[in-house]
Formats: sequence, structure tokens, C-alpha cells
Amino acid sequence: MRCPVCGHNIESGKSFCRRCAWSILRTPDEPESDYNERLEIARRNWENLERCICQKEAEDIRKEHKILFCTDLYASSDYAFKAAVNLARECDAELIIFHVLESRHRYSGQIITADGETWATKEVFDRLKKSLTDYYLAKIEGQPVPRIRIEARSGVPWIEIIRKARKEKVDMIVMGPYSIRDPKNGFDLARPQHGETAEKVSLRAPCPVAIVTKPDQKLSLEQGA
Amino acid sequence: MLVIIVPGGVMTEKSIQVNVEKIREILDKNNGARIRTWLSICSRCGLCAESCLFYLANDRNPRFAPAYKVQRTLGTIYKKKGKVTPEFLMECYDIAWGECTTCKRCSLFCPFGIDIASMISLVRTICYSQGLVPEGLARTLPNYEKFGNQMAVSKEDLIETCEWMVEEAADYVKGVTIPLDVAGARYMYTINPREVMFYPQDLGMAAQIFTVAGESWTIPTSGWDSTNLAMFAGANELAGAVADRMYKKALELGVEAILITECGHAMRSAGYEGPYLAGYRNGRPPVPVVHSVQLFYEYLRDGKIQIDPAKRIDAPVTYQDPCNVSRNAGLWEQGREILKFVCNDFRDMSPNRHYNHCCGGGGGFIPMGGPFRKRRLRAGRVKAEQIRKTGAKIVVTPCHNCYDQLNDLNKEYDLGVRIVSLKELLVETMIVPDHLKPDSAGDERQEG
Repeated sequence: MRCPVCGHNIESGKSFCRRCAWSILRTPDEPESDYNERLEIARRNWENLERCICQKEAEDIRKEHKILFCTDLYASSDYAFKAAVNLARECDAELIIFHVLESRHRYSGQIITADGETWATKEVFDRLKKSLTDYYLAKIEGQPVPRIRIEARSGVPWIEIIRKARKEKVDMIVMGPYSIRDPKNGFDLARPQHGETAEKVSLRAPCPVAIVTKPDQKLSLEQGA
Repeated sequence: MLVIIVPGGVMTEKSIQVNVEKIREILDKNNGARIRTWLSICSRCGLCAESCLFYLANDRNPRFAPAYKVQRTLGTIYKKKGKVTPEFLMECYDIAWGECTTCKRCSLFCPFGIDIASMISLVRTICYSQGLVPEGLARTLPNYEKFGNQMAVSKEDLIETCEWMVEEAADYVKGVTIPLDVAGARYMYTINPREVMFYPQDLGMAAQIFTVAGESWTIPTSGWDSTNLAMFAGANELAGAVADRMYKKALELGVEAILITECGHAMRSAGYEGPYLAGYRNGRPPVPVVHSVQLFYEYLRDGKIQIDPAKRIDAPVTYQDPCNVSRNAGLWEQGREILKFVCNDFRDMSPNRHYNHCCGGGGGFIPMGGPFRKRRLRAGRVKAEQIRKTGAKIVVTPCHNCYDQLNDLNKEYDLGVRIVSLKELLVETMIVPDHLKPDSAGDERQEG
């Protein structure tokens, strides 16, 4: 149903509007006239509020939350994935699972995959997306995440992660501490180190970045923002 | 790998079918006095052999002597009037792309001045006409047609990357902008798509330098790719169209000159081969073409950019002359002059300037990717030895191609050097005038 105050779509099962906080349940024994008056005041207030806030802020309020989880395809990302899933559930956000196939030569269209160096073809990306889907969907325990998208690109990992974060206007980037450039040292979770990718993303990202190093770290958008 | 290019850019593999008529057509078209003379007057003296990095890197095997390579390929094709076997064409393919970077060093040593690189380019054109092109180059060709650049960068991605870099550069220089499509600007700055895709900081650094120098410049949102891999693939018609797209955009914007980023073959295409490919019979681009090396040198010479004496680099520095900037465009002194402003300990390689060796990654070698990697690194041994002998810790090069190859050589031959572009050096050492210092930096200084 539509919210009578702001017109936002109220999800089924919810008793209030997520956008303007209007409670759709009436107060017990409230007369019709009182309810209408209260509704009218809320509408006027909402209109005033919409007029006051600038367009960008209004967009921010309306927009859906997005969490960008970046994986390096090593076990080092698993703690980060768990935290990203919990956060996505918590704030009803879309979870974007993102991996960048690294281009060793900045000039060449070749990328590094598990099978070695190859051309960045559609088949390579399709295969990668399938393995990401199989791996990560199986890892989700408990309640499902409302919305999940799996994406892959080729290039320099930190550049593509930031490009993606900017393009999607994500609320938070969640990733493990390691760099794909240093896979040999990437398995010792007891001694987390910043890889080049994590370092550059955290320095240059347009949004908060969570580098997850422990199995039960909890994230929240309010604190992050 | 054999790659067949068909209309629409779809590529499939199949066995080679030699189209003799098509080869003859190309031979006839190029059978002018120039090629005929070159092929007939070569006296096999062997002076070109010692000039070639492939010859030197392969234990002076005569098979790698430039004169042999051209006689074995183009000479034989002419002798046989185009009636060659698929196996022979495959050999031509191998020599034209795998054993020559078209660096033109051999021409300097030839007593007759024979332009062997041009003849190797003709062999590439013949191979291309038969569908034989290294996959790495072939994959870029449809991108030029569809997106107007070799790496399929969309207009949206270009603009977004510029906006991103402006935000970053503003931390260092106040009021920095990247003006897009500004008519009447002095320079139309054309770039390498590699900068957008893999190295966006390059754009940010350019913006900082131009802002400090008070330059009037713009990046066009079409015709901005100054690279021309079609030229190295032997796809002359497309190569001409690529160069012409840039010229037309410059004319449309009414700029004074086209400014080329720190890229070697972009200068070769825009400055002196592109006009011929695009059909300008006088061989001159319709708009003057300036390379960044020249402009940066002028900034320092004229005091538009000043170097902070405290930031001058003490570590030993050497300069890699890109073939297409130094030898072929004559800009070997400008790069060195810039380094005099910036470094305290400059050590030249030997040989240097227009006699400098190719890094081994030119002529399309780097975009050709993995299948040619082993040969590329082997050919780069000559350059690696040159660098090691200087004892330098920093190698400066104004060419994306050299930059990638030198980074690979650095790892392969354990050189222990840092490879930098001129922009990186300038941004690290230049004085940002007070009125362009970001406000927050000023506050911090006051507090400190």
C-alpha cells in the first residue's frame, strides 16, 4: 500500500512507512476527525520538510541502501562476506558481490584467472559469476539477503572497486584485508595485513570502507556514516 | 594464434586461405620508387644487424638482422608476386610482429638510409589483408569502430573518471578542473585510454600541472584517444580514420594545437604517420601536434612551473628515450632538459638520444599480450643491461608503452628501479603557488 503522507510504497507486514515514519495503525478509539487532522498535519510537515532539504539530500533519503562486498576469491574475504551479509539484512540493503579480474599488463586486454592469463571474454566473466554465485550463496546462513547482485570486471582492483562504488553510490564497501597481489600471504587470518588493494580503496573511496579481519565483527551504517 | 577479422568485428579461427589478388593489389599500390629502390639497393652489408635489439638479445643470430627480416618477408613476396603459401605467410606474421618493434633504429645505421620499419609495416598490412593479426591487436580494432577508442571506454566512463580525478586533485591544487569539450581552448589534450582504465591518477596529475601553469586546455569527449593500434595491426584504413577523428575534433573545437599525453606511438600516429594514413597528402596534420615532453619543457623554461629546490631528487635518475618521441619526433633534448630542473644526479644510458635502444615493448608488442610475452622480455634484455649500467634508481619515461615494459623488465631482470612518468616527477617536485594551495592545507600549516 502507499503511504498516505509521503506516497512511498509500504512493504507488506510493516506497520510504518520507512520514508516518513508515519504509522499506518490508528490509535485505539481515535475518532475519524482526529485521525484526519493528524494526517493533514503530517502531510504539511512532510511537504515543508521536502521543500527544506536540498535535492541531493532528498535523493539520499529516498535511495535504497547498497553494500559493496569486494572479494579477492581467497578465504581472507570470508569474514568480510559474513559481516556484509549481516549488514545487508540489518539495513535492508542490496548486497553487491564484486570481483575484479586483474589485468597484469595495463595495455593488454588479458587478465589473470585461476587458469592463468587469458583474454577478458564474456565466457570468462560468465564462468566467474557462476562460481561466485555457487560459492557465496552457499555461505549465507539463516535468513536470506533481500537483494543480491553479482558483478565482475577486469582491470586494476582498487580502481575498479572505487569506480563501482562511485557509480552505484554505495553506502559502504566491505572487504577483507588482503590484496590479490599477495595471495601467498593471504591465508594467515591470524596476522592480518593491509594489501595494496585494501589500502588504496580505504584511502580513496567515496564512502566508508570496512576492512573485516575477525569472524564476528558487526557493522552498521549509522556508525559507519 | 590466428585471428580472422570479419566485418562487424567478430573473430574466428580458421586455416589461412591466401588471397593472391589482394596481396598483389597491395604490392602494386606500394610498388613505387621508394620500396623498389630500398629492396634493390640493400647490399646486405650487415651494418643494420648490430643496431637491432632482437639481434643483440638473441646472441647475434643473423636470422634477426633487419636486412634479413625484410628480404625474407617483403623481398620474397615481391619476388613471388604475391603467390605465397600459407606457411610462408605465417612466417611473415611471426617476423613482422614477433621480431620487429618498428623502432626505426636500423635506418640510422643503414648507409643508404633504408627505412626497414616502413617495409615491415607493409608486411603487416599484407598479413592483415589475409586476416593474420595478433589477437591482442585484433581485439582492439572493433573497439575503435564502436567506441572510438581501443579499450572500449564509454563517454560516461570518461566523464566520470575525470570528475573523480578532479575531486582527488583538488586535495593538492585549489580550483583544479578538467574542462571537457571547451571550444577555443589552446590545447586539445588527447590521452591514452589506459589512463582512464588503469591509471586515472595520470589525468589528475595532468590537471594539476595545467592548472599550476595556467594553461587553457580541454579534453574532448570524442576523438580523445590519441593511440592508434590499428596502425600497428596493419589496418591502414582504420588507422587513418582513427587519426582523422582526432584531427576533425580539434578543428571542430577550434583549438590551437593537439596536445599528446606521455605516449610514444600516439605521437607517431598524430604527428607524422597519421596524416598520411588519413589522406593528407602533404604529410602534415591539419592542426599542429605537440607532445607533452615539449610543453612541460616550455613550462619549466618559461617559469610557468617552478621546481621546489628542496624537493629536487637526489637519487640517481636515468631517462628512457621512447623511440617515437625521441628518435622519430626529435624530442630527445627536451626530456633531458626537464630532468636538469628536477634531478641532482642524472645519468644517461649508453647509447642514448636518437640512438637509444627500443625498450622491446613497442610496435604493438605490449598489447599483443601473453603469447608474445616471452619474446618481449627476451628482447628487453638489451634495455635492462643499459639501465643496470647507469646505476640509476629511477627511470623516467614519457611513454605508456615503455612504462609497462620497463616495469616488466624491472621484475624480470631484478633491476630494483622505480619507473616514473614526467608528470609524476613534476607533480612531486613543483611549487604550488600560494593562491592555488588548498584551504585546508593552509590551515594545517598555520596550526603547525
